[in-house]
Amino acid sequence: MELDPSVIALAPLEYRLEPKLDSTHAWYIRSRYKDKQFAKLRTEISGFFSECCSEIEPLPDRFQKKEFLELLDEMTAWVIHNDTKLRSILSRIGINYPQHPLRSEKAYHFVQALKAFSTLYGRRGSSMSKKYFMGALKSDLPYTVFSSFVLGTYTASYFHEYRARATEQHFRHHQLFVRARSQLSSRKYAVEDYLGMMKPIIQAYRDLTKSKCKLWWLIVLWNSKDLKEFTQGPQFLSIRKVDSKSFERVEKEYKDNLRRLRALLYELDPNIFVPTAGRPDRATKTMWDDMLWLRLGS
Amino acid sequence: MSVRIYPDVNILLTLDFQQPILLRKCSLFANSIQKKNLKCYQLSTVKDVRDRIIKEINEAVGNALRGLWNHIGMSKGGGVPFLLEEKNLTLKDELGIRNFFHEKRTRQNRSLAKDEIQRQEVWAVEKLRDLLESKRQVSAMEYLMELSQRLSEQYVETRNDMLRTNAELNLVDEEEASPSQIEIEAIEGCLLPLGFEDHEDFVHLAALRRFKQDKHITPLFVTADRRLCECGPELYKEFGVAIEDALYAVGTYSSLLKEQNPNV
Repeated sequence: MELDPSVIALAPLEYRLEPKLDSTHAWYIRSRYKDKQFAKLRTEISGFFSECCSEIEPLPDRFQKKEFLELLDEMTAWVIHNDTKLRSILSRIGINYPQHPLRSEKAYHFVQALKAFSTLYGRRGSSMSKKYFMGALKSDLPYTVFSSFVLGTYTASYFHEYRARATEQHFRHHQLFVRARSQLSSRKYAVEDYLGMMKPIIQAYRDLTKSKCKLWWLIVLWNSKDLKEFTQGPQFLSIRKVDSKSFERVEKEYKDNLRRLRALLYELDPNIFVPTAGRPDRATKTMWDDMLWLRLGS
Repeated sequence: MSVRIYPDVNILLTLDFQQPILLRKCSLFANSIQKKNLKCYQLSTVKDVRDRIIKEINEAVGNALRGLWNHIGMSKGGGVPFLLEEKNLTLKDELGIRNFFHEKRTRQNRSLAKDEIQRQEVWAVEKLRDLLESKRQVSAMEYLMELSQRLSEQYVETRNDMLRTNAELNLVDEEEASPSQIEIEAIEGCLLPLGFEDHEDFVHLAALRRFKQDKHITPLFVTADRRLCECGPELYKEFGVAIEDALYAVGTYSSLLKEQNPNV
């Protein structure tokens, strides 16, 4: 089972202390800070999972909450430790997380890291969607449930795209990439503005991720015999095994959160939703050609 | 007394975007609305229907794909679909796939779902041929995943279209019409003898009639349905609900407004 990258993206990874890199132990200090940073990320994600889990309780009798959370924690640790690309982006975001005073090179690195994360999410999101395509076929749950998961993945991808773009625009507009005295009060207000501007959309994204996690667990966990099957993915996802009341409640919550985030994103940047295909695809074109030349059924 | 525009064209703009005539008509309506800066209200019944149609189509085509999974499983895995993961498809399977989709299509009642299944069929056959161009056989599961992916991506596109339409027309959600207050019998009684039988439109019109009674407004229902427009004069005479084609809606709105407030 893959770990949803949306969850990783929830942690801002800021750290307040500036490591002194001019000492002879610069490398050691830097790596210690990184380790601390990743440990913090792991704790934050564990807290998030625990929050999600308590909202879909009681779990089926065959699962212990503690064991389940431990498994998720192990998976998180594995991803943080082994995914070098993700690790490098996250540490760059962490090191350069905007706070006052903000130096121009830090602002630049932060934007670059957000852009890289958006690209990475695009790639991971499409590979993650495969589990929804597969799940949709091997299930008797309404097909739209899986389509909504795909829609959620796309929306999360739009969010990352928006965040990277809006951050760059804001930083450019307030000349945060330009070398100047980092203590300037105008820079302080620009950073505060930025954090305030991002707060509601990040909250909406967090709500969506939470309800998505809950809904997916509700489907997969209730269809698994044990944690091993949960990790590998059950053979078939049956609606009869899922508690219908919880399912209805969580599905509604997910749909509401999805609608809210999409509406917010559209309001902020409608260009994200521009259609990808302007022309009919090859198959549709062939169909029209076949109909035109009466080749159907041949 | 005032006039309100209640659009229905967005259903067509969202779902029938493949039909260029309707798309043009709806785009012209959207342009004139933006130019005049008019406010449009979306009936809750229209909103529900839009959601339901998208869901129904997605379910119909999705179930067809699940059926195809079962169908291929039966022919390849000896009746056990889970064994499908190691099975392959060749060009010989094309006919079976076409027949399967044909059967699914004929069983559908809703014409939009039928069209969508046909589109899926054409795409499925084309995809199989494409995949088999470079190799002699293709994994059945991989192929089915491709079909499932396309359907989900279409769903995403439709939802995005809907979001764009709402924003382009600057739609304001009208408060929900209580189902107990919607009496469609009178509307049915008026429209059925004229040969109009769309139940969904009966519900929209009954909701409009209620708004007219409660809020003392003249509702203007904008639609791209030519047959419903033809029944417009009769409905206006009978219930005071105006129906107009998307092309002429803004003009009709202005004249209704003038009729009620000659000084404007």
